[in-house]
Amino acid sequence: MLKGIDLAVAQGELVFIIGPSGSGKSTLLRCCNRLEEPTSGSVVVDGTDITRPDVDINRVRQKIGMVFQQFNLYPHLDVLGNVTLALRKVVGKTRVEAESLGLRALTRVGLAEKARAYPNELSGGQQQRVAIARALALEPRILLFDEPTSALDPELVGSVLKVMRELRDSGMTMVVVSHEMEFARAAADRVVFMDHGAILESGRPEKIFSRPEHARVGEFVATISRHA
Amino acid sequence: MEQILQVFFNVAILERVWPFLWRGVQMTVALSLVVVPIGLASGLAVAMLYHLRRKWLNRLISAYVDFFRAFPPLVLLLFIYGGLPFLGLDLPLFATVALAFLLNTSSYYGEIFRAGLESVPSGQAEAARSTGLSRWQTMLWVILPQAARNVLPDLISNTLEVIKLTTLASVVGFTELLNNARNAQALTYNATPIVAAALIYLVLLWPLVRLVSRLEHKSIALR
Amino acid sequence: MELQRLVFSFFNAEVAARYWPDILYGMWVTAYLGAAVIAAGLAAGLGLAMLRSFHFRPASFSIVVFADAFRALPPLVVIIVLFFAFPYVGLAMSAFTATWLALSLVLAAFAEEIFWAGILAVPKGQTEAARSTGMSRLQTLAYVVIPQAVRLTIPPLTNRMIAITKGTALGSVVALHEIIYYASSGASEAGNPTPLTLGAAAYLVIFLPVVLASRWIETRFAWKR
Repeated sequence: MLKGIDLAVAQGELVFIIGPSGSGKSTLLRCCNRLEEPTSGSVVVDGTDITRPDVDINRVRQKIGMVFQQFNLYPHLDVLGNVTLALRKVVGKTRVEAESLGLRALTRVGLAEKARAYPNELSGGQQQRVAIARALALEPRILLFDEPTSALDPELVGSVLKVMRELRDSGMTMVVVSHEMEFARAAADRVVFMDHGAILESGRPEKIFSRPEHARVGEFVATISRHA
Repeated sequence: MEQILQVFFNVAILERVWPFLWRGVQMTVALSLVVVPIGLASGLAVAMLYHLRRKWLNRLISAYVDFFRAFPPLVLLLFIYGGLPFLGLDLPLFATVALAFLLNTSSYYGEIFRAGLESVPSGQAEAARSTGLSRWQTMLWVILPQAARNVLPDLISNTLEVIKLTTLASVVGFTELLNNARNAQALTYNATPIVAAALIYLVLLWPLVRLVSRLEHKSIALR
Repeated sequence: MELQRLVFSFFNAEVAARYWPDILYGMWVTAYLGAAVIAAGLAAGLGLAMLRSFHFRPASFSIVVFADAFRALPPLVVIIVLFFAFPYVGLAMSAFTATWLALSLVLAAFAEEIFWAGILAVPKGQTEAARSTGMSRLQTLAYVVIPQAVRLTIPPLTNRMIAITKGTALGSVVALHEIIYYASSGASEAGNPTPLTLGAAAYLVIFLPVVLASRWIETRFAWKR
């Protein structure tokens, strides 16, 4: 249950959303591409209000990329198939065009040589990078990350974070829900703290992590850092 | 509309033929009550024989099961009904019908129990034996309960099939529900008896269908 | 009970020679009918399951009622009602049509339930991922959900298909000219059960390969995740 959210993300920004479980972070993220439906208010992406009833949500979603905690790769398709499915069926590219775009996306995440492998042959980190390539292939304006590294073994987290950092450096607008504090410190432009469905505080990482206004934020950061 | 009621739902005719239909229901139930338990028992026996893991025995059992899975039950019934007299055997109709159905259902129940026994991890038997339980005790108290629970949806589903199978007995004149309904229809020149029989089957079997549905959903989801 | 008497009764070459052409024709009818039932039943079942996945309440309710009814009714009863009752209101149909329609309806009901359970078993995350890349509900169903659902459904589906197509024998009850029809009338006519043996053998020739093939298919499609 979200209460009174007012959040604006500028182009090229990397916004990090943190908070205890049940605080509504995932729900907020999923409202951004209407996987969850807000009961009131509006969501505006790149100038378009996507909550209006007459909007073609499928076309809009091509511009919003999403990466899930459980990767959600299609097990019955190989890696290239996963990445090109939407290109072929939604955007209407031919197989040849789609595959070349798909390979470009796979190269960006460093997995071009695995194009013909199947998801169950890859490690968790590789699978998540393929999921990122799948979202990238559509050339979205913004990427949403829902706890992208929470389901990964610790050794594999680094490879995914590396890709995310490269994306940020190339100017991609990103909203990330995650517990990876070190990453936030290094790469986030803004950190937003949520609790009980509302945004408690928002600001630059240095401020949130060292001198937050609310005590609750400070407690949370301390607990997470201790477990890191 | 008027005509449909007259022909399909004629209350006067229904009153007249109801005793026939009711006797048919009783015979259907009687036949089911014989075939299902014996079928279950023989299916379990077949599965346990398979569990002994003797190569030659298993090949024999697989052949038996595949044979009766490939054989349409109606054909089996007619074959036994028409052929038994030529072997010098003169069985009462009930026994002939029951025999044909048993051969068919024991192979299906056998397959189900076999899958059930295989679904219990071998570690269970090892643990039980290591506490001193004999082979029979292990089978009875540890393996079988788990096996049965795992394949319960399939067992119930197959039992539903057996009850539906009883309608085939009408072809050789066995006086179960469908047979009586068809005779009543011929005598009254009206379709109400067979429509009534269809509705009776629906009422009797629908609860089982719902039960199987619920169990099946759970088991596919856990695959 | 001498062996000779047994052979004379059940394996009488002279009687067999007289009736095997009919049995052969019956095999063609059985095979043709079986294929027609499988095609119609599977297509209808899959279509109904896909329709159900759009969560339109009245449609879903009707589909459940249909599936429950035709899984509860014995196929022979459906054949009898279609063939004997419907003519009373002017809807007469041939033995072939009645048998084909009855068996297809029954297969459609079972197939719909099996496909539906398969669709439900595909993790929700798959749908979410596909939708988040802009695929419509129908595209998501067709390219992501159904391919995965089908693998889960193959074992129960092949079993059910075999059971129902064996029901083609039931057509003989309404005088459909398939195998057992010729086999039993031949046996009565000749006063000898050899035609029945021929009929039994004919069914085995058709269905034993199918049963063995289904065993092979089941092992091959065991889901590798």
